[in-house]
Amino acid sequence: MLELNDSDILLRSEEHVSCDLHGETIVMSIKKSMYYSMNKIGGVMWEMLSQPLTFSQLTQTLLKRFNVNEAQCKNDISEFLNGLHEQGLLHVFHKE
Amino acid sequence: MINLPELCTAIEQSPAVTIRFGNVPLSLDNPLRSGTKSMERPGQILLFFGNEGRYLINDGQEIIIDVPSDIDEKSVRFHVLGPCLRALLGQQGLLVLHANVVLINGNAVAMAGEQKSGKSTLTAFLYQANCPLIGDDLCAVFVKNGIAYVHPGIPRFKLWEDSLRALGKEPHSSHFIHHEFQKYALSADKSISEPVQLSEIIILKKGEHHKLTRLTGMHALSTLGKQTFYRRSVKQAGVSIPHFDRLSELAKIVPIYEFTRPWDINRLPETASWLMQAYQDNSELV
Repeated sequence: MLELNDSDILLRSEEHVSCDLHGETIVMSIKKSMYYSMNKIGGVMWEMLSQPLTFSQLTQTLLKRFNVNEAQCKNDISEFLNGLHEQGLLHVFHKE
Repeated sequence: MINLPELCTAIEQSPAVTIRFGNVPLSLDNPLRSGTKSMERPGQILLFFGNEGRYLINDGQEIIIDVPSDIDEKSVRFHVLGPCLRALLGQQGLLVLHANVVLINGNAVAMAGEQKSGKSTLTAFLYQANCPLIGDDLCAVFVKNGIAYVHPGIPRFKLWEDSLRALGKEPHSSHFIHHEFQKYALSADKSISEPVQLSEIIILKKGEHHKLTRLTGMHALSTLGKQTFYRRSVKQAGVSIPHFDRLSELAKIVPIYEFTRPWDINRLPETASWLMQAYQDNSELV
């Protein structure tokens, strides 16, 4: 399980192709040739991860944009990011 | 010389594709992918068929045949019109689906599905009910100005013996398409000679009742991906980006349905009628 700190910098991997289809964001890992589907919030996060940003920036932006509980939001984001990381679709840089 | 009456001859214009006999190398230099049955590098695909020879496909324009002098003519036709043709169409940038295409009430419908899912048999029943055949087995698709088109294919069906009998035809060994692959060729009229707009893609499934279900999102995309040829080579040759782009483009503009139907060859006339009725009144195509 990936432990994320607020200052950790996140960036999605280039090893993918993606598209929007019928309201879903679909990502294919080039290395694994596996498809992943994301709902609306997942699609927003995926788009944000195209530029480097900290875990804190990501959570704060989503809290402002969607009306969700902070603890639940952080938990859901961590779970989503863990999934991406496991599939080789996310880089995480720990700030010294 | 070997006759290929299924193909059009270029008489007054230069041919789009040249098929000729020649020397084919035993391997390719610096292949992106190498297996026991084929090798691939940019612009070239080499196919091996054991003691039935080797075939080289170049730049989507040429098929070179290198076979023993005593080769059975059916073997050459089987390999040229099957694996070589689909490799060549892929080199031309077309998305090649393993599907039969038939015109139902003016709609070009591609019938796809797993091996032995009854694609050719159902299409042959629809053809018998006056739905023109657009292509059997290979469905070569391209997109132009946001519209998907399918090229007309070879005007014949490849059918197992039970399918042929169900259609009221008597099997004869002279119609085998290959001595080791006991499907029979049943010729059809070539009534369509130009690309046709593709209306729907239907994936055939086993079920209790006749039902069409629209697939969306990832389910649509992954199901469509399974209907393409050379999935393994796409992955191994590192050309998955254009392949994914073609698949997603097609899934955006052409509705994909799953079609469940009773798995009974004797009920195929009923299935064909059900489908024709669905296209006549648009009741099931939601």
